[in-house]
Amino acid sequence: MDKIQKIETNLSGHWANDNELTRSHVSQKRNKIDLFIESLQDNIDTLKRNNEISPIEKQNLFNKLQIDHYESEFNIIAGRKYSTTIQKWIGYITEINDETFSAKLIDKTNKGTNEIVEFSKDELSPDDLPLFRMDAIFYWSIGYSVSNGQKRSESILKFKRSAVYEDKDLDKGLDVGNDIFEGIDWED
Amino acid sequence: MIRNPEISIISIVVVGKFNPIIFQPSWLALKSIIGEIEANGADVEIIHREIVRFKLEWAEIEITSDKFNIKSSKEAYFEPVRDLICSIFTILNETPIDAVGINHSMHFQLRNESEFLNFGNFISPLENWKGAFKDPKISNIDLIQNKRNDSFDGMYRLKVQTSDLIKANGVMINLNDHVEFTSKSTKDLISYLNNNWEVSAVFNQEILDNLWTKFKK
Amino acid sequence: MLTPNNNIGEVTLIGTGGGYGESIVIHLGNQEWAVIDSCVNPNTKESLPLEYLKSINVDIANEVKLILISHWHDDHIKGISQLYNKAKNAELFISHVQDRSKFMAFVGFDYKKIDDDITAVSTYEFVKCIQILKERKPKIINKANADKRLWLTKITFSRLLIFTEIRKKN
Repeated sequence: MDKIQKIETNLSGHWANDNELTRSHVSQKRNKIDLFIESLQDNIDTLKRNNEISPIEKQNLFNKLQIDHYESEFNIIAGRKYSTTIQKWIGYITEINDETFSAKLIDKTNKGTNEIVEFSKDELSPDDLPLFRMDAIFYWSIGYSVSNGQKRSESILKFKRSAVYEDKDLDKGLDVGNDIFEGIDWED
Repeated sequence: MIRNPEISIISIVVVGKFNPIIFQPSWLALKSIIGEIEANGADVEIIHREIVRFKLEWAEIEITSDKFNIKSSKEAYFEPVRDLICSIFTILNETPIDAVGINHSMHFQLRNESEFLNFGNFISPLENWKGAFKDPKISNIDLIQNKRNDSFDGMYRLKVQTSDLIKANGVMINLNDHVEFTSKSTKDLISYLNNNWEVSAVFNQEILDNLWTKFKK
Repeated sequence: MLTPNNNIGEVTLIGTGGGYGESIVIHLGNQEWAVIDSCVNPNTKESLPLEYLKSINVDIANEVKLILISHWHDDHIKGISQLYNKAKNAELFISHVQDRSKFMAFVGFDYKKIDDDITAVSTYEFVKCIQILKERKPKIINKANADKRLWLTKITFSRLLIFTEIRKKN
């Protein structure tokens, strides 16, 4: 098998871009996707052309749109990128300050005692800022990641996301909760 | 001797009836299931009414008309994978759900070729095959437990095979924790994932601990 | 199997993990019993602590004094309402609730999603316990906080043996 040639330039139209071995994996994948879409289109065109086909036959043909040409590459990915945790916690925010916030942490790895830990707000991801508030739940883990043979330690803080309830669901849930506990006393 | 895996991968397959084209990163962001920046940065491979596939930083997602697949090789994000599924099917609560499979894939590095071969002989003794076969070796085995440890319909399947992620002397052990939902209800799926997530992980760990304890060398 | 003597403490651990679940049954002395969590027999679907207490002829209605629900993962709560239903004189304890109104709202949200024939949902078990509690007096949910005594049993001795050692003087 020929060796993949190194691309010396990013100029468009360079002969290397046409080299079938260049970035062969990407081109293979694109070819498969294109073939799949083409096969679907062929079937759709056939349906459109053959209007005499009964609705049931048409539906049967449509149902046969299997992903035959598209071999799912949804197998386990090449192990070039993965990460492993050494310890995991689930936490919820108990205090918010100017530069920091405190949270109660439940150790999910060692099942030890709970801890109160202070974090810097610098650890918050931009996408998680809308979720940042008192009592918000987050996952925190420490471990390491491996990418293309290089290992580095990492600390990941990710806020829990759950489906957003509509107002009518909230009201109904509150009503049901009140009914369940009506007449029950709680020890002080 | 208890061993830790080099690579841990979680993969959840939900079987049911889906409309793949709904499951786009932008829709997930609209419903606050993922962040907006994350949605914009998603690596979209294909969006089609028969199949949708895209990657987030921490998960790969593929949806066809009968399967919803999500997978992560980043252990820190295993719980967010569960949350994502639960959120999606809380919103799409009319989706008919037939079954769910939680796959715990663990890749272990054995110390050397001798240990690797011994492991194969340990999980399935080769003595009975010698004579007919010349120097046989184990490629993979499948174990099934048809009755679950709880009250759900379903089964467990354990697969042991050579690792395709570890360059040499690697083994992959995959537990498929499979549950069937006769009610076809998203409520059952969400309840199962929320209430049995840790149970499934504990069972997987028990299987591995049992295996490595018995494997002396 | 017989029940232990009044002055014998007994701790029984039930369950193996891996989906069966865990439960702890404790003889506190004086034929007073406590049960922490519950799991079910996968074949009979009966609460395993209930099954155990029956097998040693415990008077469940009168002698089970305390039932504690530590949390409600399925493998720790299934079957607990069966036991609580039989334990007519047991006090119900749950682990600390940080915010009562949010907790009640959460139970309401989760419970309203349940169809009548779903038995796998752990909130269902908890709500069943509350419904049983409503039929009893007093209707109190007790808190199992950290460093708190939940129960006191006084054990009386009929005889006390004292051993003494006499040393010979050299």
